[in-house]
Amino acid sequence: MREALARVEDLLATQERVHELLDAVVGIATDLDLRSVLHRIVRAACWLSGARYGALGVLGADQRLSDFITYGVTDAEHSAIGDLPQGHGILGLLIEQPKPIRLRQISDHPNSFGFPPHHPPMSTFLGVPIRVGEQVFGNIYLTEKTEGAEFTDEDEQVVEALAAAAGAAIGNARLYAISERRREWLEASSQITRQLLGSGKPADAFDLIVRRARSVSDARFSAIVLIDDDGAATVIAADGIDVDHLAKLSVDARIVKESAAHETPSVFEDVRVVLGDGWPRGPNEDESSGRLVLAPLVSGDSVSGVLLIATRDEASTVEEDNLFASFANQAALALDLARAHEDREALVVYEDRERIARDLHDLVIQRLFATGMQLQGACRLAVRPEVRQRLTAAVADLDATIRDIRTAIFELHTDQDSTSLKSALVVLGHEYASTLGFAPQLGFDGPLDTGVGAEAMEELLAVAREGLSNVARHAEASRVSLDVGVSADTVRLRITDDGVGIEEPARGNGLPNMRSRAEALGGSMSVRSNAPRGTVLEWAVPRTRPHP
Amino acid sequence: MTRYVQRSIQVYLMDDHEVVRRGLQDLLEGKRDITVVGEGGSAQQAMDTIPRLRPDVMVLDIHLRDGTGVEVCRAVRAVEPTVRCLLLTSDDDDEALLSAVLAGAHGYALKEARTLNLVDAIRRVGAGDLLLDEVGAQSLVERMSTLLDSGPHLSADDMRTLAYVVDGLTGRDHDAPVVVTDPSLEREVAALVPKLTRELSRA
Repeated sequence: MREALARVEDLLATQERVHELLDAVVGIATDLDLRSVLHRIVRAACWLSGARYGALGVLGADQRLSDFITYGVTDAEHSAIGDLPQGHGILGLLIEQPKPIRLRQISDHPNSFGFPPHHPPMSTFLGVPIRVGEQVFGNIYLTEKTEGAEFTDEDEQVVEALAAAAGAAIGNARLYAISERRREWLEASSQITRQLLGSGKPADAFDLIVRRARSVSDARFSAIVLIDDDGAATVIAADGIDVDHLAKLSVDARIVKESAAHETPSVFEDVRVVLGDGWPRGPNEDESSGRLVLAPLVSGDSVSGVLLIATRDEASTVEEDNLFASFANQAALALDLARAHEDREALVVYEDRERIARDLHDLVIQRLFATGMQLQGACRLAVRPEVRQRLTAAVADLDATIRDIRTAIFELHTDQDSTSLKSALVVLGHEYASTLGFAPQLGFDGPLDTGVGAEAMEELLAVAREGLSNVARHAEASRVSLDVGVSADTVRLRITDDGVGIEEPARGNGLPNMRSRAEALGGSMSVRSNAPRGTVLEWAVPRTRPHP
Repeated sequence: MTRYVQRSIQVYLMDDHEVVRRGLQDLLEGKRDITVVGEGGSAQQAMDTIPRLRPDVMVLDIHLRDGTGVEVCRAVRAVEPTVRCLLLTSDDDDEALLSAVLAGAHGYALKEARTLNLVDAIRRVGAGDLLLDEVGAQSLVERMSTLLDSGPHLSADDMRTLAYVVDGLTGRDHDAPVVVTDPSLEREVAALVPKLTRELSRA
């Protein structure tokens, strides 16, 4: 009878514990935050088993404890003990053989390692592994069952049941965390796509990409490193690195190139391997530490390089690295699209310029030419000399206009890559427009591109540059014209300005240098005053056969 | 030679802008030593008429709606090599020189308001002078020959045409521009001008 009563009591007690277990499981399962799930598991395990102290050790990739969540130990006791256990002794036994262990006295076990100073005394012990899927996630450690009792067989079964439920809940929370992360990365990608396809230029987008990559990954810093045509690596955008540190980085171009060619992200456990010793280290950070993830940032054939982040250790997982890599991939796609868009716009501008050039060529010049002929016809009929004079002046003006239009047509067509003398003069003119405050006027006469040898071309360009820079520095001019003419035997450059003129040759005006450049080619140079004001510089060299 | 008995220079004008043709006629009518014997506004018309008229000088605009002056020059001189050619153009010197060399023309004149040069050029071409910038022309032929070794942006057909032109040019004597012509290739030669302009400025 008494026995039967005891069994009923046992049964009732068991039922009660089953209830408690169910409550605990439901509580755990509804939580989606991994850390708070772990806390709930430890607390529930203590309640269900009657343990005073409980802990959950999370296994890291290196089979050591990467995290240790406790229950029943006060903060004061925590800080007195110091470092969290890594997984030696009894804790390690459970790691090596993931099955439940029950002990009456921890210190009696041959594997016991002893306790650090200030650790609360513990004797009874129950350890149960937690599996998520097939993998051991960590272990529940329970000690000091109430009133000095030993942990029972039933305690073990209940905690095992809890561990099974906990495994499912952890898996769930992990999946949720991953999908949350995926959502955050996606949001960042779409922000970049939006900006790029809106009004943004690829160059501006680089900054946004590094900023978002760093904030979503909570990285210490982030950067984009591109490989140029010569194979050199350049950091073109960075977040979390100040200018001083940027200057100190020495990027390993070979590693960047290799990582850019990989589809998967490349992980380096030592930042120095990739960035050298100058990377921006925090005050508490070891100089050898610092994990770096490089994801390929490859878009069409216009961009080749990597997006890199220096991750914090606790946030580094393979899933996270892959999410980061797919973010980089999305960003590269967006860059590609933006570039295509930019090219299209450039093409529209180009077509427009071609059309304008064609109109100038086919319509405007023809009419001016015809008008010129009519004026000259009228000139013959004119009796009064002053009328003739005016007509002749008008014809000269028309000629100047036709010449300007011809230069304008050339400028509209000009291809910056071209090696022609005219193109080089146009580029030089553009270059000096900002220094001078206005664009120099260009005039071409004769076959400049076909008829000037390489040597004369080089010298002429150097003198033109020197001359324009003289005007910019000394002349205080409001107009400069640069005329280059090729006649049967001479190549001639004339730079005319309306500035203050040169009464006293200023020092360092480069005139002797220009003269010697002319003389070396058997030519000459002269400088004279321009009426009513300004200076005319004439530079001429004999023509030689151009080198092909 | 006495100038009193000298026959005037017979000139044919081709330009697809009527204002230009009218202006040219007005201009040349005043010159006693020049007679305009015909004019036309299209390449086809010029190619049909010029061999029949056999003028001393044909003044040809380079860009026409139905062809180019380069093509007309080559086609006419293939059948009537005594007709000399002056190209007239609103292009710049480099393009004009290239066109003139490819066309086998005796010279070119830019469309400029002051027409002294133009009249002078017609007279000199009429007298049999070659007005092309010799250094430039020679350099062009040399550079075209190097393009034959490597013209990375030219198609196989373009290369064949170029080879045909260069053959004609390198074998030529200085007083008589290109005589080697092939009616089936003249249009291709003309089409080569813009491509070569691009190609030569890259080289």
